[in-house]
Amino acid sequence: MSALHDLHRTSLSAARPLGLLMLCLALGPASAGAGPCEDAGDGMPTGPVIAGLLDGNLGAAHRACGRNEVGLDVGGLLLVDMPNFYGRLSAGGSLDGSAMVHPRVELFGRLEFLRFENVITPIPATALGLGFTSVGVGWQVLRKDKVVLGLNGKTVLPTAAGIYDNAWPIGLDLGLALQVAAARGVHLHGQASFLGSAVASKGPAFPRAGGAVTFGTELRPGKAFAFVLDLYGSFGYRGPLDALAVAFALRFSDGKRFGFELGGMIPFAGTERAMVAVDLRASIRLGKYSPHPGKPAGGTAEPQPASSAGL
Amino acid sequence: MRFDPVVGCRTIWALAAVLLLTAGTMGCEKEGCLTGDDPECIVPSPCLDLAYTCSGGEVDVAVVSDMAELPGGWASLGAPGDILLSNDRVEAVIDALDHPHYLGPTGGGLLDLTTAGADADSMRHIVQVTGVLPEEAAYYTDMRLITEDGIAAVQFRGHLAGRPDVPIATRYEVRSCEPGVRIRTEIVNLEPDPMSLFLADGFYDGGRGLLPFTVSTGTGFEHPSFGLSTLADGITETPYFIWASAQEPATTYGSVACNEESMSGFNSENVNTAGLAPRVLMPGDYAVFERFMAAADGPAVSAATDLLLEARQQLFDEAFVTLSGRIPLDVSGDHLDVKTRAALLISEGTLDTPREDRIPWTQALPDADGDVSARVPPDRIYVLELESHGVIVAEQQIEVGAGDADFGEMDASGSGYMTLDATLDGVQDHVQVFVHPADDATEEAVRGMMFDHFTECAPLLGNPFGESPACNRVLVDGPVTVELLPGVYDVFATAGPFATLAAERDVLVSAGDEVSLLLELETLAVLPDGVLSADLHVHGNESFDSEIPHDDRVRAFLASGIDVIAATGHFVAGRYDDAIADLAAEDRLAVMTGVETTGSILFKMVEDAEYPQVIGHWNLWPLPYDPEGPYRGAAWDQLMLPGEMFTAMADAGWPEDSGIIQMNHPISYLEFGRDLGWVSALGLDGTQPLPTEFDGTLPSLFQYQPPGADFANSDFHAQEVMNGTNNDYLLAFRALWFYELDQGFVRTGTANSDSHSMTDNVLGTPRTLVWTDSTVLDFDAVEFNAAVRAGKAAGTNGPVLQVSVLDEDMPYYPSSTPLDQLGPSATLLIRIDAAPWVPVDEVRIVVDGIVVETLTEELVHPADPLGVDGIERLDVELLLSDYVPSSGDHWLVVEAGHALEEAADLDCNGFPDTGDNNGDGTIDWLDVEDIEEDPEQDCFSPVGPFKEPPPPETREGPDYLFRTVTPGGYPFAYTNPLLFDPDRDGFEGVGP
Repeated sequence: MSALHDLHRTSLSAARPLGLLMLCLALGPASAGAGPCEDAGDGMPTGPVIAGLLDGNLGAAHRACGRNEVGLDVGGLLLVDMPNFYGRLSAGGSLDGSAMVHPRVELFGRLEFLRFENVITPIPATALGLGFTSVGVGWQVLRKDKVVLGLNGKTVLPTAAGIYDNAWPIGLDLGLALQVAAARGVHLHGQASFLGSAVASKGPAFPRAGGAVTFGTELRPGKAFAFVLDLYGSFGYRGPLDALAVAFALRFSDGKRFGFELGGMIPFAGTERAMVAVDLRASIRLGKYSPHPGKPAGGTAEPQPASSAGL
Repeated sequence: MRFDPVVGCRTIWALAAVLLLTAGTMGCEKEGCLTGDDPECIVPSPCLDLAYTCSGGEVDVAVVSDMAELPGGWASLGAPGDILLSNDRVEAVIDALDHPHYLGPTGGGLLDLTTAGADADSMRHIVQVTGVLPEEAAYYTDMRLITEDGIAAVQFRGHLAGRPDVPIATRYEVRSCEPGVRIRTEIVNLEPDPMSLFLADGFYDGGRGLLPFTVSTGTGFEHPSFGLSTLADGITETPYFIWASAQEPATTYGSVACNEESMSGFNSENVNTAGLAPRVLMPGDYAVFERFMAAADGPAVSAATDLLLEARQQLFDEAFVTLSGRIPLDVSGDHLDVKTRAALLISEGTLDTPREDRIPWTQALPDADGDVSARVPPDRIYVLELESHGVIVAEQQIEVGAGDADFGEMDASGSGYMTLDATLDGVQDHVQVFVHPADDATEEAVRGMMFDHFTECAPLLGNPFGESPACNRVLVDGPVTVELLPGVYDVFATAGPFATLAAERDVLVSAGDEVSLLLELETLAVLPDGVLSADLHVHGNESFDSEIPHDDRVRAFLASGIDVIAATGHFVAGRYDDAIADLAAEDRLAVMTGVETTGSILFKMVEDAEYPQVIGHWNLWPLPYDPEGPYRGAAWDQLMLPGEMFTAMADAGWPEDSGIIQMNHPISYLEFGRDLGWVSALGLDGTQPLPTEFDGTLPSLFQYQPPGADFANSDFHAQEVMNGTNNDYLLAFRALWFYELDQGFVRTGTANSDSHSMTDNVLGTPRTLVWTDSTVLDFDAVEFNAAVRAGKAAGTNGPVLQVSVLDEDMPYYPSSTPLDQLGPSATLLIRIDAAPWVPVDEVRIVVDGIVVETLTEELVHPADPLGVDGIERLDVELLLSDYVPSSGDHWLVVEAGHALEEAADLDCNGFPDTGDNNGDGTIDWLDVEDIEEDPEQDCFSPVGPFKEPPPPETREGPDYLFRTVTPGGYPFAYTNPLLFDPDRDGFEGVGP
């Protein structure tokens, strides 16, 4: 019996996920045998943790394995800086969707239909209204048995009228994403991104640019549950080292179309002042349901990588 | 479909191109100084929808080179180097970059504003702020004068203090014919996080000066209360803000936003704000605040409201109508303060609308003919409330349509008149008269508060914080007529604690009638020869929180019988030369120019401080008066520790060899987050020894010498043991002083009134008695101050204590020089004299902080408190060895007066803080004003207040008489210590 099989039967107590992760990482390559996108046959979310620190989810890694999906997402960010009498509570609700317009190409978008900002100082202020909208495209440039390498690009559109009065923020995110099937039920993922933003206004363009790196693993011990642990680093956007953060997510699926993700990101180093970002997302796969991963039933469900595929 | 990688790449890069193109396109339309990095930028002209026309208008902007160019007024503070902006209707002074004032960390604030030629500046200072934290004030680094066709302007650019990534720029502009200044402030958030932006003009203004008036439900002159943690609760939304001057010659100010239909702000006792509603400013976003700051002659709110409604008509197409009528004033009172006699508050609502639900729109005062008018919005129902002497005497309702309206006539003629005259030793002289209700019915009928804002007075004779008559007090040096509501009054005249008290009891004043009183006083031989009585902490209208004219200030000095004054304005050196000359008082009064440094800009005093703080208040005198200096001879005193501030003052000319540094009210409360007392700011623990080494903590700053400073923070010479007429913090100051003496830290204890007006404290009560060879006629400040430094002083609000040690016929007096040679037969001599109206119930001998003897039986009590006999209360000689051990260091202080009020140290810091306020005989959390639940701890905070002694039960007897001229106080006097050092190894005290 493989160690991974044992793992399926192991209860995932809160105290042990890191140990399990290390075990999976150690055993993964030896027991590999499934493709990097094979678990995408149902509604279980996949890829890096979606909770992020920047507006418009700038710098947040995008999954390499595309899919047809819509999601509803609520998230927030908390910053408490007592010595400087500053706090920030940010929360938003978003609709997102993605579509495979080509077996290798995914279009995706996100509309933050409501954004709440509360800046807590001796004289606090709040803002409520339309938030950030982003659209992007992902392209799988390399598909091997165990590896998918993708390019993705995302632009943040100037829609945040609810929280900006005189400026229109825009952003750009270009990333190289990776998904590796390390073992059955164990995937590694990562992304290196360039991110930039500016505002369109009568004031300064306020250009900012930086890089972000995400690396992590997804552990799916069963059909209904998955756990993700990522390390996130961001550089040059607000300082030499913006943030080093750990991100985690608990993911659930009914084994069919529906998926849920409860995730968070906790910075532990860098100039980023946020204490935590959290996100709760519910999603539903679209297209014909494929109960057997690797055997698409039609529609736009993604094909399995083939050894012949690639550039 | 086969994917084309080329198409994929193009798609991604197309997105990037769109993004960059968008940013680039928008970047072409930059405005003003919003980019924050263009040194040549010009802030655009604000309020472009405003237009005023006249013939022959003019504008000018220039850097002031001569004082004569500057407008005058009781609040004027401009100096050469500042910027004068003027047109044919107003003159404005903006302080130079290197002339920061009050809350401004740099110049660039509006310092003076008056109507053209009026010399009636009533404005202290306006600084642009984005919040209440110190780093949320504008820090300007660049100034530029701008002249364009028909426009004169000055702009300042910089950033928020301590936040270089938040650029801010402000343009002040005048155009011809306009009754005010256009102002535009731009700010950009280039920080990575959102900021809370409350972009506003911050008025630094004592609670006794400009009266803020807002238009919203239940406001007007009333403003919601709030604490520093609940500031948002105090923010009012209003179409405009008005600041009415309570003191004439007056300029009233109004501010209306040009780019928003409403404004927001809070109004506290010391800081008022008027700006845009708080909002989130996201990274990269900017905000612009354009407003028109109008200036109008006179103290009426309507003077400015009329201008602002006209402005709003142009800006927002809002109509207005004029409401007018008559309030006839009796001719015989014409010389009196009109706003006290008849002020008309105009509020939207009906007579059935609860007062707190009405919306006050304006307030008008009748002119000399009794005519009154004010602009108001049309098509509303208004309630007119006529206030006279702080009491609503008439009200009516009127419906106003689309046109002008006339409310007819309202009657404010129900007052009577009292003519007061007084003599001292048979000749006309300066005295102060207190008018009190003689019965409860009169008390109830006449107790009033001017504009619902100021201190309650019974009766209200005039603006409590302005010229005489003020509250219920009148300066008399020849017949003076005051107007007051009908009733029965007791009238008392005082010439200070060393003269008799004159009284006229049960004086009936009827409506329309006039009564005349002559009050006769006599000087009493209470004060020994060789003693000058001094008030070493007083304010005139050079202080931001004092509006009393210098003439009345000096008249109050003369009426108190004080000899020496340290004129210590907040921030600004004080002096009263012109008034002294006008009153020919050169031979009766010696004035030393001084300053009260006043911590206003918060900063972290130690690296690990939890909160930014200030260093409290300090007096320094004498200073060389410089009428052309931005602080009139003082140095800028912010953002530095005491030792650094002492150094700055020495650099400005304070003589370190002979001058005095006095720690004022060392234990006190917070005022708008600013500690008034240094010891409170440090959180000094009186249960622990005085820290001698700096360890990075706040208490260890007490004796710390900051790097680069020539002085240690503890290099002060005197500290207040009595401050203010009502003795409220006396017990805390006394405990601190004793704590220091116990440890051999000897500083002279002083007693001062800290008077800002005729109402807050009685000038000269308390006072410091200084034993010196100097005289008023031949005043030698060096000699006088040497005596103060040497501790040859006593404090009193009535009793005069003379204490000495007699050893083999050699007398020794209280002094900072210890006695190191005493025989076993040495005696302690105590003599007490006091005016008959000053009760002296007990005498306490305090040794090493412990009351070792209380004398009561030996005291003599005068039979007639209004007479001249019975001055000598005690004259005893006691064996010193009965009280002071023969070995070791010891100190002895004698006190006299009433028994001390009970107080407890609930926060366990070694200094009492709370009185028995609920009168249940126990001092606990139930006596604390700001605690509502049992803290269930032995030590807790907040604590306080101290208990004010209860008013006398009857209107008879010496206690009542004393209180009539010493409001809130009880008799207290103390000597400076006799120090004993028999071991001759230097006085080191007895330990903590």
